[in-house]
Amino acid sequence: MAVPQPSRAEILIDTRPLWRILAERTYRPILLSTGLVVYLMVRTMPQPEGLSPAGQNALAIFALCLVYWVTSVLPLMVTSLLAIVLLPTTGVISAKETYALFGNEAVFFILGAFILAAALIKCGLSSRIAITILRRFGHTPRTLLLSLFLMNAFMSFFMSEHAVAAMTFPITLEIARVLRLPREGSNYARALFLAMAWGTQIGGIATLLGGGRAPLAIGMLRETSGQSYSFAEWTLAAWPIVAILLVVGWQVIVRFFPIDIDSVRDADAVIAQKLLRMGRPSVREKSIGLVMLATLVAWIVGGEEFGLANIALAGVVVIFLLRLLTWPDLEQYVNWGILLMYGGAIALGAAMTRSGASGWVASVTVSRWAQTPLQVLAVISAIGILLTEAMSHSAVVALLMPVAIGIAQQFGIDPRVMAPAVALPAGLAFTLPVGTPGNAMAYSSGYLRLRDMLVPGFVLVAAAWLAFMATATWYWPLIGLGVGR
Amino acid sequence: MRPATHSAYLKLELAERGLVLDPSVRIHSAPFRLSTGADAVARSLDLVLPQGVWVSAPVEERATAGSPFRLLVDGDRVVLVRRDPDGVETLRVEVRAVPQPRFYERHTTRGTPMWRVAAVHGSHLLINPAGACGFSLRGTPCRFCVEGAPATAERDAAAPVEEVLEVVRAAFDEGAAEFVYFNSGFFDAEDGGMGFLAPYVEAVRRHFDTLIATQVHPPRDNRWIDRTYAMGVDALSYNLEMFDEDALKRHCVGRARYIGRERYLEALARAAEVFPSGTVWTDLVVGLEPLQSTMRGIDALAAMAVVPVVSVFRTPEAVGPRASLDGAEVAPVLARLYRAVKERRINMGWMRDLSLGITPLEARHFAGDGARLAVAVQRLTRFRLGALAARSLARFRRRLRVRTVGESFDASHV
Repeated sequence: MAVPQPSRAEILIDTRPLWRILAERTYRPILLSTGLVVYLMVRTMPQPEGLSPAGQNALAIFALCLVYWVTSVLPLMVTSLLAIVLLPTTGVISAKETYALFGNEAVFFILGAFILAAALIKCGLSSRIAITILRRFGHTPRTLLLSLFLMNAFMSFFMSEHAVAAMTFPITLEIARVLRLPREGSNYARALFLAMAWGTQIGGIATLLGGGRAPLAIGMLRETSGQSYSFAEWTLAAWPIVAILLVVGWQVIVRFFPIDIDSVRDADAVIAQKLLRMGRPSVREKSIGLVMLATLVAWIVGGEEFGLANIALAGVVVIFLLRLLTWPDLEQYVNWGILLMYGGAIALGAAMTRSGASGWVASVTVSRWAQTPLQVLAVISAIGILLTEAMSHSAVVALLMPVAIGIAQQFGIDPRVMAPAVALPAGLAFTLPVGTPGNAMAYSSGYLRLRDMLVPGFVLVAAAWLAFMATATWYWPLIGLGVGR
Repeated sequence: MRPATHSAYLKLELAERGLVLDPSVRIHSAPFRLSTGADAVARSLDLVLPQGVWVSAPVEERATAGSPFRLLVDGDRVVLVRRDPDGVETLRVEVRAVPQPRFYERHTTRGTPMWRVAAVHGSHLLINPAGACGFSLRGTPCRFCVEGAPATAERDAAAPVEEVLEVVRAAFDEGAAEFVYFNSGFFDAEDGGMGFLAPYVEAVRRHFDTLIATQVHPPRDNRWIDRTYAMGVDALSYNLEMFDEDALKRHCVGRARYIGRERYLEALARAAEVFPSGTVWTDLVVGLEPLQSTMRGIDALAAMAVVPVVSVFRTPEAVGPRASLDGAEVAPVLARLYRAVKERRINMGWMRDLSLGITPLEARHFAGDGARLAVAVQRLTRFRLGALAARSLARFRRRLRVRTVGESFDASHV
């Protein structure tokens, strides 16, 4: 008899105590139910003074999304889809308006940026830039570490910080391996991985390309106030914080983890080999580099006139016209789900503002804790920087932006200030592995203990908040972003 | 030997010495359940002693001629009588003779006699789809074995899954068994025989709401132990048979040569981590190795959360004579069996209705302990609702414990 073989799908038996497994498995239904209960409670509570019925419904949806986004009980994008479904069905805004908001320029800008980054990665140009920088500057332990730190930051100016971290993590791991750094107790190894994780994050807030936070905040700002930022304006607002954090971050790394090796000759050899294997830049690499450069210039000089999304998509079209990328290549690199997340968040934020719910939330929360515009900024940025340690950066923006816009209206703050006030702190998670994929990768290397991230990370978080406040207080008024006192 | 004072002691004596069938039994209208077929060296009769203790008592005339036990039918009652060498009756106890299942008389759709496909032992329907022991085929059977040693010329192919399902259906329909117990003779495979049994287990799981036990050999790769649990096996045995390494080499040449004692112990330890408490067991044959060694084995197995089941095998004539066991000498071993399992807080409720071995809970009598809670819980599982609860809990536990690699990654949010 031909005996069929059992399925070879890899089976794992969870041998932990049953109560622990049970608690873990029931965690999800409990959180889902909690969100539903919160939603029903807010919807059915007596209508508060100053809140319209549509506002109350918008608030209920916001509360539901708050629970699901904070706990990640559903994928972020699915929670956004839920918001999109609920907004028209509960009568907050019409279906037509909801889906129109989903087609926000910010969503298409992010899409374009993802595709351009995919082209950079696919053709190998991003790896070449990384390896070239390390080869050029990293000949001593100190210069190698500094090169790695700055290179990660620099790359994140032009690509998603997560993509940069994913690209440079294997390089960092290989450097640690060829230098035979022990998994426990090696200061240099810890410094390398923190330089990788922190470098990408600090660089990621510098431009609109480092992640989806800034475009998302701008999209929400545009939908609620009609105001926006050009590529250059955003960079102009962010650069002092980036500069301060690059200096402070470097100091924190080398002071907490003094360099404990004398030579990086082995790593140098490996990097040289990698560069040798890459050969000369191909025509494809050069072409993609040129398109990227042209797109950057266009963003800076023509962003306001032509629109950031238009320029990004034009760059994408050129890449396909020149056959520098194929659609299947692209599909591997673009996180389509995150586009749904942004679309839903923008729709929810607009609905919150238009229905008056964000103003009401602001009046019962931050407005009670803060008396002046600067205090408002201090509270908003502190909440953002704390939440982002444990939450997705974009989810933090999605949650805080509607409230921040409401507060701005109440305190007479220019709503434009609120976009960087929310998006910049939301990109700075330095203490926990769950804060960002870069941190998670660094921690997963096995060279870092949690304590290695917690204590120095906390110092950097404090520095980041102070740098933000100093920038907002003294620098932003100089470039026309008046916070007021 | 002292006169039997409790059912477990009686079981020990009956298993060892067998019984003589009174002519009144032979004319009884309802045939009793006798182990049958070419695979049986010594015919035996299944009885249920007081307190629900099952025993498979040899009734082969040549082997049991000197037995002090006699089974007779007195009206509607079936009575077990014990007499001392002087012919003085020392015990008279009513027992329940288990009627021979009606399906033994039937044939499958393919024409195979159903008794060839499955046999009822206690409340278990024992199925050996391979029909032969791999060690026997290699000429290295266990010397005391009554199941695998004979030639299997009549069975040259594994039983088809559909045929096994047909027989299980027939056995369950007439209430002849509660559980399904698969046995695989394969040892020379990566999976220890589980790959062969998998389609049968999966088919029974799909068609019947029952608990499934398997007796196989340790796989080379522990992942097969995990797969065994995941595919729906509720209880698992890798039968070591004896703890003493020299005795194992002497009596179980195949086990010692092809698998080795250490692998048995490793696999049992892993299985005990995976399966619910009290569902991983191994037989220890008492009397073929020093009793001290059996006790060491009991302690070692219990420490790994494995349930030792002490079995008393009557010696097949082909193997030669063996000195009779002294019940008084074995009693401390059985007392140790109960205490060791109790001390390790291993669930004693799962092992029940084994007619060929003495379970820890049955051994409580030797330790002078009532084990009221364990007995009460086990009794509960004999009721329809209790059995349903036991099966549901087993399924629920499996749902919680079994995960695929993909699920694990998802859960970790990597």
